[in-house]
Formats: sequence, C-alpha cells, structure tokens
Amino acid sequence: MKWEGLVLMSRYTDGFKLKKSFCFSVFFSILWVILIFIPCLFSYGLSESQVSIQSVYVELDGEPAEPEITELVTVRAGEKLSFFRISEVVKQLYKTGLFSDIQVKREGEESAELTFILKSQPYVRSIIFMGSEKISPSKLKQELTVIKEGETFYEGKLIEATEELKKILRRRGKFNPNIEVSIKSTDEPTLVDVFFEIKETEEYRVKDIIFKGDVIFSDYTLKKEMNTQIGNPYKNSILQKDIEKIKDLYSSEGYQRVEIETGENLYEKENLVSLVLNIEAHEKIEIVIEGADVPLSLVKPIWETGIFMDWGIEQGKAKIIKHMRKKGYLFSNVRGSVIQEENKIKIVYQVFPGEKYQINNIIFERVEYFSPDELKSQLAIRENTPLLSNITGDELFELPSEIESLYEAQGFPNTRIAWNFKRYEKKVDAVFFIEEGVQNITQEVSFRGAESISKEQLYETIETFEGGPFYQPRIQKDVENLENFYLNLGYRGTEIKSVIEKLGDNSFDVEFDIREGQRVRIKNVIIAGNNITRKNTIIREVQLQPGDYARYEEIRNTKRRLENLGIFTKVFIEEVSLNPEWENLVINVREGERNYVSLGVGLETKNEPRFFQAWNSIIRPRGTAELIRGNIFGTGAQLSVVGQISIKEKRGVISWEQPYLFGIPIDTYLNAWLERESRKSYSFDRRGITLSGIRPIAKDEDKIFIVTLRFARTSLFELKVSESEVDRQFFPFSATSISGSIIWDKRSDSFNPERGYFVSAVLEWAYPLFHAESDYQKLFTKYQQFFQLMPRVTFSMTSRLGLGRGRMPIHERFFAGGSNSFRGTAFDELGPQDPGSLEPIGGKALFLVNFELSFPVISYLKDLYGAVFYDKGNVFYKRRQFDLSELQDAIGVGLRYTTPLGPVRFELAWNLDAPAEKKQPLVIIAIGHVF
Amino acid sequence: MCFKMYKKTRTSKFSSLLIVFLVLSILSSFGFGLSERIDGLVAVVNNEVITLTDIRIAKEFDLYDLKEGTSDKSLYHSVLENLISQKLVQQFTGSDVNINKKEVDRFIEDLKRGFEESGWEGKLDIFGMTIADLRDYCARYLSYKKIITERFNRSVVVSLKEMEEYYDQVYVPEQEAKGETLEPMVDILPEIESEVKERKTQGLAEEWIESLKSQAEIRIYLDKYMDFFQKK
Repeated sequence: MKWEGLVLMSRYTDGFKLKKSFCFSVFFSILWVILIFIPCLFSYGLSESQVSIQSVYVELDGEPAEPEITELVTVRAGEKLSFFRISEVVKQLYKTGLFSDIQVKREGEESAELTFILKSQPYVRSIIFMGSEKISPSKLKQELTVIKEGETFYEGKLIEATEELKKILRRRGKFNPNIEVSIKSTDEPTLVDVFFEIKETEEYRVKDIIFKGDVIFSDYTLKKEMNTQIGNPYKNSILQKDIEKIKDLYSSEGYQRVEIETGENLYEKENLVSLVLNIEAHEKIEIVIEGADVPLSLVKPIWETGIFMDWGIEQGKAKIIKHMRKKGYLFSNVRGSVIQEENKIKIVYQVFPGEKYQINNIIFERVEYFSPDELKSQLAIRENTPLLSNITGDELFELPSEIESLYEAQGFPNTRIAWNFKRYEKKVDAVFFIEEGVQNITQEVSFRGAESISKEQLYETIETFEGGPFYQPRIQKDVENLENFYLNLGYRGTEIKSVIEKLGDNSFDVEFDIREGQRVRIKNVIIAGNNITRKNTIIREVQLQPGDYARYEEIRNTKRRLENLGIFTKVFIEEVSLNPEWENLVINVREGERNYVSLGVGLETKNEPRFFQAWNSIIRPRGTAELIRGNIFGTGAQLSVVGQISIKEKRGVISWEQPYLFGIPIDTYLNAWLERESRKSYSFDRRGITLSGIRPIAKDEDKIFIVTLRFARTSLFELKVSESEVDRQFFPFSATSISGSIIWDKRSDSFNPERGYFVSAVLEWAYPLFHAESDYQKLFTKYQQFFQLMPRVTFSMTSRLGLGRGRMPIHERFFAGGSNSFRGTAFDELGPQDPGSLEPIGGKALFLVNFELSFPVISYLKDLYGAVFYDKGNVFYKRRQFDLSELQDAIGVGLRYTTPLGPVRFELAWNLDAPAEKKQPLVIIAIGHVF
Repeated sequence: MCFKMYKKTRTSKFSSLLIVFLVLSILSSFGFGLSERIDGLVAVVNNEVITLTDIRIAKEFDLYDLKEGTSDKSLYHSVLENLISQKLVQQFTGSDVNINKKEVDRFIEDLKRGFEESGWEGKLDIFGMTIADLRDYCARYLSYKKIITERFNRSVVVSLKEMEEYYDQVYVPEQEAKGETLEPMVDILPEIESEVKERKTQGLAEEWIESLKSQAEIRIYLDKYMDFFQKK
C-alpha cells in the first residue's frame, strides 16, 4: 500500500517541470514517510504490557449489551492490556453457551479501547420438510443428525445437513433430490426455523439382482429372502435388511462370518438400477457341544468374527462351565478342540457334567475378623429356604474373589482362601477356609494446610478413621469427599493429595495435604434462553442468591429443580469467574414443546370373567384422550383436559397445575370434573372441584404431604340397594371436605418394586359447609413392604385399614373386591350386601392384607414371572361390627410380564369362603401392581 | 486563456489531490489507532474454542516446529490445523496424559534457547502472560505428542523390506543429490529403521486424526482475521 502511494504521488507531480517536480516529489515523499512512520515507531516503542485499557465496550447483535451481559466480560478499564487474559475471557464467554461468535476489537495505542462484539447463539426451533414426497417428517428428523430441533444452529450446518438429507432420501429410494434449504427467523431472536423443500426426486426400479462370489444357494432361494424384487422401486434401506436376511441364511448353514458387499449400477436414462451382491462366505463354522444340553446360542456369538482360536475356545469353555454350574453341575468340566479343514472350522466342546448338586450350606472356617453370619450378610448370601438354594452354582464360584475383596477393604491385603465341598447324596456344603492374614491399621489421620476448616469437620467427612482398617482405595475416595466438601462450601481450586507413611509392618499414617482454594461468592445470576418462561419462574428455583457462597451442591440442586419443572429440555449452569472472589452464575435453558396430545385405546369386560366362562364375557373398548398445554404464561403452569370413556365410566377432567401457590413452593392442582360411573350396586353422576397442594416433608422427597379441599355433588341412579337417609335416587348429595395425606415411598421402583416399603395415610373430614349435607370423617391407611429373597424372587405384603364415622352415603363408603384389593371376589363384591337385592352396600370399616411371592419361571424370559398369592380381608357395614373371624380368604396363582408401566397380570383366584356357586376360580387380567 | 484555464484547473486539481492525499496519509499513519481485531473465536472444535491469541502464542513460541519461510497466512493456518488436531486427540482420549513438571521444564528450556533473554521476556510481555501460563500451553502440546507416540509408535513394526525400499528410494537418491558417499545399508540400519518408523507413525496418526475430524463438529473462522494477518 505504502509503495503504491508513492508511485501514485509521483504520477500526479508529473506535470511540473523536472526540477520543480523532482523537488516536490522528494519533499512530499519525505513528508509522507515521516507522517507514516513516526507514529508507528512511537507506538511500537511502547510495550504491549505497558498499554492500559481505557474502556471496555460490549456489543450484542449490533446493539449495546445489557448490563448483565456486559458483566460477563471480566476485562475492566484500568487493567494492563493482556492478550492472554482477553483470550481466556473469550473462552469463558463461549462456555456460557450464550454466544455463537465473539470478537474483540481494539482502538488506540497508548491506551486501548476494547470492544467485545458478541453474537447471540441461535437455536433450531423447528425443522420443517416441505414437498410432495410422502416421507414421514418425524422419521426424517430422527435420521437427520447434523441438525436437530433444540440444538445450536450455525449456517455452516445447512450444507452438511442438505448432503445428509440427500443420502437419507437415497436410502429411501428417492434419487437425485432437488433440495432447497432456507431458514426463517422467529419472533424470538435466538430461535430459527429450518425449512427443507424437497422439490423433486427420481425413482429407480430394480433391473436385475446379481449374486457373485461364494453363492451356495440358488438365485431363487436368495431372491425369495429379499423384499427387493426386480421391477420394483429400489430402496437401499430395504436392501440392507435383505442383506441381513441373507446373512442369517448363510449363518444357518454355518457361515457365520459371511460378508456381503453391494454394488449399484445406475442406468440414468432408463431410471433403472442393476444390483450386485458380492458374497464372501469365509470359513464354514460348525460348533458342536457334546455331553450336555447347552444352547449353542451361548457360544455362537464368540465365533461370529475372526478371533484367535485359543481365545475362542477358552471363552466358550468359561461360558459353558458357568452355565453348567448355574444348573447345579458344580463339578462339570469342558474340553474344547478345533478341527480345521479346507474352508471349514469345526469347534467341539466336550462337556463332562458330573453329578447335579444342590448347594445346601456355605460354611466359613478359621474366620476371626468377621463372624460367619456377618460374612454371609456382607456377601449377600441368603438363608436356606426349602426347595431353593441360598446361592446358585455360578455365584458360588465367584465367592473366593468376593471374599478377598471384602477382606481387602477391611485392611487385609493378603487374605488367602482355600475351599472344598462336603458331598452327601445330591447336596453339597461348600467349606471356605480363610487365612485372613494381618490387618493393616490406620494409626493417625492428619490434615495439613486446612486453615479455614477445623480438623473435626474434615475428619467427619472422610471414611478412614484412626485405629481403623487401612485401605488405599478408601483414601482416594476420602480425597474426593474432601474435594466435594470444599466445593459445597463455595471453595474453588482446592487441591488435595494424600500422603501415606508406613510406620511399621502393618500400620500407616495418613496425611491429607490440602491447598485450599479461594472461597467464591455469587455476584449475579444471569438467565438466558428463556423465550416464553418468565425470569421469575426460573429465579425462584435458584437456590443461591447474589452474595451467597457458590455452594456446589446448591448449584446442582438448582439444576435439578429447573429440570423438574418439566418445561425445559436442557438446563446448563455455568460458573463464570469474575475475579478470584466473585463469580456469575449463568443459567441457560432450552424450552421444550408446550403442547401434548395423547390418545389411548383399550379393552374392558363388563364383569370379571369366571374360569370356564371367560370367552362369554362381553369385551368392549375404552378410550382416553388427553390434551396438555404446558408452561402457560411462562409460569411453568400446565393446563390439561382429559376425557375417558368406557361402558362403565365416562369422565371429563380439566386440570390446572402450577409449581407454586402464592409464592410458596407447593405443587398445586386445581381439578374440575364431570363423571358418570356404573358400580356394582349403583351408578352415579358427579361433578366437583378439588384443590390440592403437594409438598415434600422437609428435604426428604420420599415423604410428601398433600392437603385437598373438595366440593362434589353426586346424584345416584340405578340404585340397586334400598334407599336410606343419604342413599337416594336422583336427589343430589353435596359434600365439602378437607383431607390431609402423608405418603412415604421407599420402594425400589414405583411400577415394579422389588424392595422397600410404602406407607400412606389419609384423613378426610367432610363438614357441612355451604349447605352441603356431608358430615363424616374417614381414615384410610396403607402399608406395603417388599422383600427380595434372592435375585428375581420377591415376597410382598400389603395391609389396608379404612375406618369411617358419621353419615356416609354409599358412594363415600369403603368397598373391596377385584383385581387390586381382594382377588377372591369380583369388583366391589366383598362385604355386606343389601338383603333384598344381594348387591354390595359398602361399609365404614375395611381391613385387607395381601401376601404374594413372585419368582422366575423360564430362565431366558427375564420379564416373565410366576406368582402365588393369598388375600385376606373384609368390609364391615359398621365399625363395631368389625370381627377378625369374619375375614374372608382367597388364594391364587398367576403369571406376570414386567413392562415399564408395571406388570401385565394374568391370575386365577379362588375364594375359600365363597358359596358353592362361586367356587369357580376368578380370571383376572390387569396391568399394574396388585396393590 | 485556455492555457491559463488549463493551468488553473490542473493546479487546483493537483492541490485538491494533494490535500486528499495528505489527509489519507495522516489517517493511514494513524492506522494503528483505528479499530483492529485483536482476538476472538478462530475455531470451535466440538464446542471448545481456539482463539486468535492461542494461534499467535503457538506461532510466536514455535510450539509446532513449523518450517520457516512459509507465508504468514499459511503459517497461521498450519498452526490452527495443529491446534485442532491437538484438541481432537485430547477430547478423544478424555484426559491429558500425565506430563511431569520436569518434561515441561525441559521443553521450555529448549524453547528458550531459540531466543535471546530479552526476546524471550519480550514475547511473554507481548501476550501479557507469565511463564506459568505458557507452561499450560506446553503441557497440552507435550501430552498431545505423548498420546500419539504411545498410541502408534509402540505398535509400529518396520519390516526389512520397508527398510530396503527406504534405502533405495529415499536414502540413495538423497545422498547422491547431496554428492555424499553412500553408506552400506547394514551400517545405517538403526537410523533407517527409526526414520521409517517415524514416517509410519506419522502416517497412522494423520489417518487417525482425519477420522476424528470427520466425526467432529469443527467450525473455522480464520478468514475473519485476514486483516490481522495482513498487518502482521
């Protein structure tokens, strides 16, 4: 540039006489040089570190940034200019996830004026496919990986996404697609919609299919396996499935390592494709297991790929022995051999099963540190139960290493275990001789460098203790615990090392060398990504206020609480350090879909079928429709409308759900409903409204407290029992009530529990408010306990007690009977009956207990269980009529198939106290746990 | 008259051009005072950032041992490529391979040797960084190198045939071109083996990094900084 300037200058001075022009040229050239270089020399004379920052200006999307964004830029006026520091700030800014581009500009030499130019990070709101091609948009969205709804967007992705879409379409038989991609800004500046317009595609038909290479089947046989047929449209996705089928065909003949490559010859003018399938069969593998009934599928996968023969043999032997031991053949042995022929490998496993034994007992000898019972308990060995072993054979052989690990954790690094069996008849006792060795002891635990925290506090945080066992992995865990402890107090940058000193043969001193970091406070909480959600809705979930120490546990709690609102698909929380003592918390959220629609269709029978009459039952459909609108007004509230219809019930419910009530964190539900239901002895129409508040008790989310206010107006019809003061047809009965419930759920799984317990108690007081007629009190308690006796074997029990007093109309009384209470009778049929119609009338007292044992029935069907059960209970018209001798008994058997929504149950139940005409077993088909 | 007129016009044209030129000259002389891009995102590799300063530091301290004589633009480009590879490898392996303090010290000493004392301090000064800050860069670079070596170098086996090929196709032509005497292959076998191994390791590493790149999300904004590079 500078030389060009000089040339330009000389050109314009050309019109002057030589002498004059020469002088001018020289003069201006010198002047120009002076003007150019003197300031440069001056500025370069100044070292960068001597330059100070005069001002810092922050621009977001071309506009001056809001103060909270400006605050994220931690470079301040007055500081010395440091490129390194600016670079660190740029990285920190990007980490917040708020910006897609960051640039820093500088003006001035002696003092720098910095401008941070930030660009908001856009996100994809929707991907929309347009065009005439009939391809499911949801499937296209699923397959498209480059660009996804809710994820970050940048324009560079569009080309890549278009290319990917072309490949997807090609796989689906849509060749040479013409795709136009465009983006459209939305009302929200950080959201974009991406449009793919698929304008035209070509379809290719299959001209021929040629098999090459190791073709061991006829063309006809291979083509019969394929859905791709000559003359049909060609779809690569279908061809890939066809290839898998052909591979299976080869595999069934022992060619497990078969590889198939496809070639496509396109005839573009005719839109035809010729397919070539090149088959490489590799060696034929024949696997033989002799001497025992062992499924081939156990070892077949080992040989599906090329492996070292010896390794394959050893793997197969180990699997077979484990299988045999599990079956009770504790002393089985396996020999393996490989016979290699031309293009064939024959693998033979010769099994010597020996006798089958039941493990009767496990005996530990020479143990001192643990008692045998403690050892059993630590190793989770169950007590023997009739017919069932306390441990399976394969588990038994794992015990030595488990015992070693157990002792090691107690400071015995050199425990030696020998074991043998005492055999008698078909049973064995496994006897373990344990030489514990010498225990390593922790003599002293000390903390160096901990100035802010007392030794006592730190000592409480760790698991290692003075005089206790010395176990190095535990010390590593202690280091992690201490680091978390500091983090939870707000310290950042704490470094902890453990120093172990061996004192004698078996004692050690442990020192935790702590370099405390800086305790950091929260300067500001910055919220981003909330386009619909109100800032307040987010802020109220934040567990840290400006000025608080940055307690890590509270940051995690904040994240969890925001996720629990159910309105965000992603929540990111980033800590942005301002200086060693202060940081900002940046909360970046992605809002999820707000509208949900669900439809459900099922079947129901009008009456529970009796055995031998099941096929006579009338089966009718039932349906459910639900519409939900979430995050209403950006408050996290939800409105839902639910409709249910079946032959027995019709119900419409409108629900409003919000996470807060008058600023207090109480999950609040307001429901208004209309319903019509047919019960055994009456039908009713009811309309009502309830307001419920749910709150965990203290910080334990397993325990919750629910308060419900209810108003309901019920009209009975089809009353099949004699009318009373409160049970009357067609005249509405109104009730206002308040109820309090406590629920304590410690089950391992709410839908398919195996361990734990569940307790609930509800006390309802119906008071005649607002001219309502209700005047009664009800108490209902439930207790469930689940015991896992051994893997997949569960014993469960439940007890229910209901007591009522006052004027209780039939629809408020306790009823029992049916698949979820007492399985010996049909729905509602347990308890007092109307003397005239013999229909149930319910009662003011209810007592029920259920016991059930579930167990696996087929080892390879992991989700199928068998069950035996015993139910006992009754309903009494009045509390004073409660009589334990009047309780009825039912027993039954069943099958359960576990699903994520609970087990699907098929049961047969017999009522032991039923009259002769009802002695036939009741058939129950239901979903969900019995209790 | 015409002449005068012409003369006047020409003079006034010249004067105005001169003024414009002078103004431009003054402005351009203070060009360093005009706004210039000094930092920002140059690349984003799987959501991790490489800044312009990262590239400048790597270039100024010659971390990647790039050949001299390459143009500035392509030099920056090569540094960026190296930084991207380093990031990908470290992201893939999850954590840094342990580099001890002594290794970093030794590496920094080697770097220092390439500078005069004041030049070394000056370099740190330009970026406003301490030696501790530079250590982090060096440790990351060393861990990257170590990962590559540990992953491939041990598994690379050099066959006699490969050594023969190298001797015939590379060593002999090179020596002949230099006019130096040819050593018998047996005498220089260890050197040849080491060279072939180095080349094979590098080839495998490049293949691996290419496959990592194909799976990664990489955005490069180097072109935005062309004004900066041109100025340098």
